Amino acid sequence: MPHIVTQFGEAAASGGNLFQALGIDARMLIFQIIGFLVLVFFMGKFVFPILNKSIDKREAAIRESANAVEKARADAAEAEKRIQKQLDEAKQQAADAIDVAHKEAAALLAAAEEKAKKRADHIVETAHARLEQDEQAARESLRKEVKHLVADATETIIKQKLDSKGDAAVIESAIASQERR
Amino acid sequence: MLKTSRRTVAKVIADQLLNGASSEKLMQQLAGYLVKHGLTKQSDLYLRDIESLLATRGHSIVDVTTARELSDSLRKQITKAFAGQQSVVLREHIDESVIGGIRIQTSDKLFDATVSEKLRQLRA
Repeated sequence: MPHIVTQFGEAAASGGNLFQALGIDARMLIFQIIGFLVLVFFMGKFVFPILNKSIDKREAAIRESANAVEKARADAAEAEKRIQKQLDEAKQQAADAIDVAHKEAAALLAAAEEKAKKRADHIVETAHARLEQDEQAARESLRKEVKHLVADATETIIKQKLDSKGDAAVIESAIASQERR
Repeated sequence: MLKTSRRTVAKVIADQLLNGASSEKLMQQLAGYLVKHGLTKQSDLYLRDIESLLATRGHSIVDVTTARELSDSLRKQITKAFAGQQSVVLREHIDESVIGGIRIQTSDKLFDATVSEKLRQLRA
């Protein structure tokens, strides 16, 4: 820094040109500025638009891709929700179907049990009735047989024991009972 | 000869019996009538009608069936049992199959107090 200040001072003191003091060719500098401006113009006119267009296109493609990805994500999420919903509905339907099946099975089982019970009761009742009938018939048969035996025995005894006197007593008793009527 | 109704024939015979006509002669006439008209199978019905008519007029004919012959005492008791009648004629039958007791039958009633009947009722 002190060196540069020294150069400026020396240049001013000698009464010469500052650019010359700094070692700069002013005309060369102007040409370079003009060349630079031409370059900037040229670039701005022909290169930058192409680059910008390419960048814009690329940006649009990237944005489109990003949108597509976003949309795909949204669709995937929606599909996942829909699938989950369908799965939930299917699970619910399956649970309902199982519940209904259980209830129907229970009802069928209860009906079958009831029917079997009624059938068994009917069989038992019929058997009891049959037994009762058989028992009644056996009793009746036995009663008749006993009555016949008693009558036969009584007939035999009466034939042996009933004499004229006893017969007269029987007749008197019968006549007396008839008169009382 | 016209065929007369059974009821009329029975009434004529019953009237004549009550008027003192010979029963033997009336029965002979009845038998002739039945033979002549081919009514011999109905002889029991004619006799039953005659007995029924006599019973309504106080004269009963009672069929008594026993296993042994009745004593006079029993006959009196039986006759006494028909106290409402002017006269009672006992027609006695001996039937050992009744074993004992008595069966009394009129034209419209039957009283069976025989041992055989009691045994039959017991067997029934």
